[in-house]
Amino acid sequence: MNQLYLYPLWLRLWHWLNAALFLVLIATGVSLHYAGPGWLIPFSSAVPVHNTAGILLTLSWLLFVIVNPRSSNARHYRLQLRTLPGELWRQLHYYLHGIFTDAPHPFNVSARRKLNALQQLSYWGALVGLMPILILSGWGFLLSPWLPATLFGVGTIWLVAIAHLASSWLLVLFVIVHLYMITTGATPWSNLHAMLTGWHTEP
Amino acid sequence: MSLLRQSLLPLLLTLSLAAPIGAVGADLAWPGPTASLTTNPVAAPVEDPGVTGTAAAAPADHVVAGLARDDSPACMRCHRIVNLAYRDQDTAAVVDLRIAADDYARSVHAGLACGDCHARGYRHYPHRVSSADEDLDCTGCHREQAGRETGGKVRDLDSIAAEFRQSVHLEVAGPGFSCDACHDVHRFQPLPRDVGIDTAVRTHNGVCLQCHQDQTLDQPPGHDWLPRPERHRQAVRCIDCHAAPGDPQRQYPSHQVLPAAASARDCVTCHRRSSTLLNQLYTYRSQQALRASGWLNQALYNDAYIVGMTRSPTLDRISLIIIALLLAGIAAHASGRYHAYRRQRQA
Repeated sequence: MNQLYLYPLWLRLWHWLNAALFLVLIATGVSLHYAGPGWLIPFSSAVPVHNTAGILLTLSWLLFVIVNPRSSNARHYRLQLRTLPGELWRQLHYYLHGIFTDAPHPFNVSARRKLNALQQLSYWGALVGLMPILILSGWGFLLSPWLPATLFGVGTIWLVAIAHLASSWLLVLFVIVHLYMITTGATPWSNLHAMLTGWHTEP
Repeated sequence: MSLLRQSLLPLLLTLSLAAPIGAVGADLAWPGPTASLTTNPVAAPVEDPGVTGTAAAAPADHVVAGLARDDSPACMRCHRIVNLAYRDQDTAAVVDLRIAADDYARSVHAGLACGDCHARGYRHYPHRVSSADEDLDCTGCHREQAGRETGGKVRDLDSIAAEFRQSVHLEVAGPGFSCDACHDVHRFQPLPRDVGIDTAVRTHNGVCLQCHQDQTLDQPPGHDWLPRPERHRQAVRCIDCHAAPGDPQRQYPSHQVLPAAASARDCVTCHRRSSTLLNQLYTYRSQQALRASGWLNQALYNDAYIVGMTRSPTLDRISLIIIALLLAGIAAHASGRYHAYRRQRQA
């Protein structure tokens, strides 16, 4: 059994802070979007909680994009464009076929590289693609008086709202898939265990 | 109402007209359904003859024609007294018997003498119970007058009566509940066409709040699900959610008041009507909040969010279906993995 320390404390704290904020933001966001009678969080409570969590998520994201590129963790996010398509295909093929036939995992985790091509792309998509849209549109709500009244002939705040809704919905899909994919490690719990302790265990 | 009438005889004080039933009904906390408010800021019409507004003064000849005609001056000898009232034995409510001559002169009924409606039984003092039991036939009189007149000055109330017969007010309160329970016929006049929406909303809702006084509380009963009930009450007419949709071309609202359970609760219907309107409202609210509480509070307690601003029932359905399909796919994948795992263990 081989053990690698892949998740330093700061990264784990950042990860679990994000997880908690996502949970709060989804619960309150759904309550705001579907506001009305029923089982949802009361509107008046959901607003400040959602806004506070959104501001904290902004700070958390800024911290990551400032700190991560300067840390040793940055190397895990470097895309190998030349080998990317082949790696992606092998990874997808494994999840759609190999995983059911006990095929060997196509990617070997190492201290030099812990994220496979599919993980790299999805994290890039979430962190650099969706999160800025989510955060900017969230702040667009909060600072709407400084925005133009209309954009492309449509009320700006409506565009802001749609951008916020669409990016948050895509991130919900990301979270669902992410929660499932962490069970595809050596055992269903090994990836969760690694993010709790920092140590990745190779069987 | 019958209880009220039973207690009327020993208390009526004058020789003139009987108790103004409209005022009586309006002053009592009528045991109607618990009302609830929601949204329709765009829908409030600016003209509605169904409520008492504050329009321009009526011509002076109305006074001559109405309160100065027939036995009316004799009636008004007593009913003009400002504090002419009695306390109802059953409800302990103070019942106002005064007829404000100025209000009456401005009302649509200013041309009517007292005896035109209160036809009989007022010769005795105090007035008899049977006097107050008179059947004030608003719809019959209006039908008759509308048939005689041209130009729409007098409106046939039959369509309103048809709606009212399906109203929860009639269902809950019984036949004693009639036009004058809400509308004070001695002050009744249409809202001017050019009145502001805020005035129209306030006037309309004033009719409902005469009885549903608990709806002015910070937490109005039945509205615990509704964000900022006071703002809704100021911006939306009660009937926009609590009455069956009427003919939009008609200048008066539907009188088919719905039970609380059947009233509109769909925030989205109103709040996503137009992106531009939405933007104006949102920006206005944000500016107000920024001015009042600074940017940090505005960021945290942003009060401007408009419920349902991004909601489209179709998009909501599609997005939820996609999430459901994703979860189903994951469940199928997990199930496949589990079976593969068992196969391998058995092998």
